[in-house]
Amino acid sequence: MSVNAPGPLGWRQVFAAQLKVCFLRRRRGQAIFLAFVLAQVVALAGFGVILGLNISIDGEETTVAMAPLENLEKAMNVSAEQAVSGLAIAFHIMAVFAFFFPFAIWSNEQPSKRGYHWAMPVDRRTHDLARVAAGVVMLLGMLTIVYGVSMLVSLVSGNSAGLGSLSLTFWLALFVGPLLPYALNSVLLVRCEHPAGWLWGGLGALALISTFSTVLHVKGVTRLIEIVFAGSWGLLQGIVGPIWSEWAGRPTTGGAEWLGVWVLWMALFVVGIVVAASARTRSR
Amino acid sequence: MRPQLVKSLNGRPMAVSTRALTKSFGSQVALDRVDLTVPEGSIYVLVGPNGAGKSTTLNALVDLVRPDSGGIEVLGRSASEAGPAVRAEIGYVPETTDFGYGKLTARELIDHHSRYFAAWDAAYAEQLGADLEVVYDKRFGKLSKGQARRVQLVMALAHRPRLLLLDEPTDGLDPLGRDRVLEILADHAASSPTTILVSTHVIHELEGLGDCLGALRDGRLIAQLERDDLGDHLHRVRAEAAEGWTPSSDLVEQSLVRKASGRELDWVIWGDAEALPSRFAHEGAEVRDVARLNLEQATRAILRMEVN
Repeated sequence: MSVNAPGPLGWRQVFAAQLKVCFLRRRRGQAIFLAFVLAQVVALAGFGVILGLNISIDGEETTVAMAPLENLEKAMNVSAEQAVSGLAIAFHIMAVFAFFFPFAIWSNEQPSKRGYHWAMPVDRRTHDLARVAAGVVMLLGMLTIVYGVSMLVSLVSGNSAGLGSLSLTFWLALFVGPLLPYALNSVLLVRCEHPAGWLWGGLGALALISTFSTVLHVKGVTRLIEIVFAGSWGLLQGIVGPIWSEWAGRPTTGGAEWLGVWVLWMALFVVGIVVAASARTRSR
Repeated sequence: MRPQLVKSLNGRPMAVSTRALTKSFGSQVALDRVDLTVPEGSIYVLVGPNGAGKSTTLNALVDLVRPDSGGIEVLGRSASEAGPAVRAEIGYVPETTDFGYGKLTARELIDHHSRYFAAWDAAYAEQLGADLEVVYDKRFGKLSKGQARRVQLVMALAHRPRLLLLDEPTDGLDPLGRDRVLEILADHAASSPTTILVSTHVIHELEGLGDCLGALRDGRLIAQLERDDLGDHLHRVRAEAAEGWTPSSDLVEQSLVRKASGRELDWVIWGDAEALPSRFAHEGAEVRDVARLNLEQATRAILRMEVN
């Protein structure tokens, strides 16, 4: 009997296959995403035109002056601070989006339905990690589009000067900040049969514990929650630290410290994903 | 003495071999000490009622289900330890067509699948697609079950795997489609060195194809035989006996199915065709007819027999 013996694929080939299939599986979602971004651009342009609509009633005469680009500039009147605001607002929307993005990446492929994915001739942990990594690349692409549109508005309105003064840390945080909520939720999606239940259950439990510990003055628990989420080494700092800092008009200091926080949380989540993928492999 | 219906099909290399394979889901025992032996190059038909453990067995061979105990060797290697290398040489059609890739067109899905198999034969895939009349440009999730099955068959066959695991491969296909698939499987088996393990409810379709038969019931392998062995030894006997006739326990133990209507007996029994009339005569019954069973009749008899 002849032996094909093709052997397992390399990591790059697996990653490329996963990137392509993720893109193909989420076509409709991406079309909706691009339509949403385009609608925002159109809305902003329309907003500029309407606000700049010059209607003057002079006796019985009515004149309407429309000059879209100039009006957009006037309407938006994007100052350096506002250019930062535009990026910061886009960042917050995308951070929330990133948190839920793993649901799209693993859509209809909870562990009990992952038979096809796992029947491929690839180490299963590697295969799951390749899927998560493909999601990272897709997310970074979407972040680039959203921030690109935001900056385009600033450029069109002639107030892009403020963007040049933003720190490298700010730019870095714009892109890597949303990866933390993505990685956090990926742990659940890789591991859990009912990730939505665990997610909402976990958030609900956290809210209850937080509320009761505050009401009942359980300082230890309140303090712990503060440290984990809002402290200087907390998750929130890792996600939004430099963004909030520069949005508030304070130049970012301690970029290295923020990066340390980010790396710490990301390392934690990556370990979580690897453990989740390994545990799932063992427990089938 | 009861007939030995579970035989280890030794004597040639095994494509699949399990030892005391046991798996439970909660309190439900899905597989109970199953010793499956599938000889290389054979077409092994695995039958059983719903919930008998057929899909669990196939999933265990692809390492999608880890057994609680027992061992699995596929193509000479441990299914769990050499997982990726073993899976590279398996073509697998699972029971379900809903596995999360419904938004890809059939062509995109086949293209994605082909990336994972270095031995993928693109020309053969095209030929299979044409023979099976695959609808390429429709989304996989929008295909009927029969159309989706055709796509899955292309995906399973086109890298000419050494082992094909087919879980209800003709499920959802129309009669013409079933005939076409069976022709293709026969051609494939003839042109490529392949072992085929096929689980099915529609046994008569595989009448001319199957070399070996395995029967699962309640997670237990109650029969495993070569097709020729089955044909030579399992017979339907019609006989006449006096009212109140009581057969010996030895004769009863050799039988799988016993029906009686008045003086008429209609039995399925294990034994040589030539010897059966004299055995019945020895016990006071007159045999009128001894007939070989086809695969479906034999399977029905095996699945009906009482198992201790």
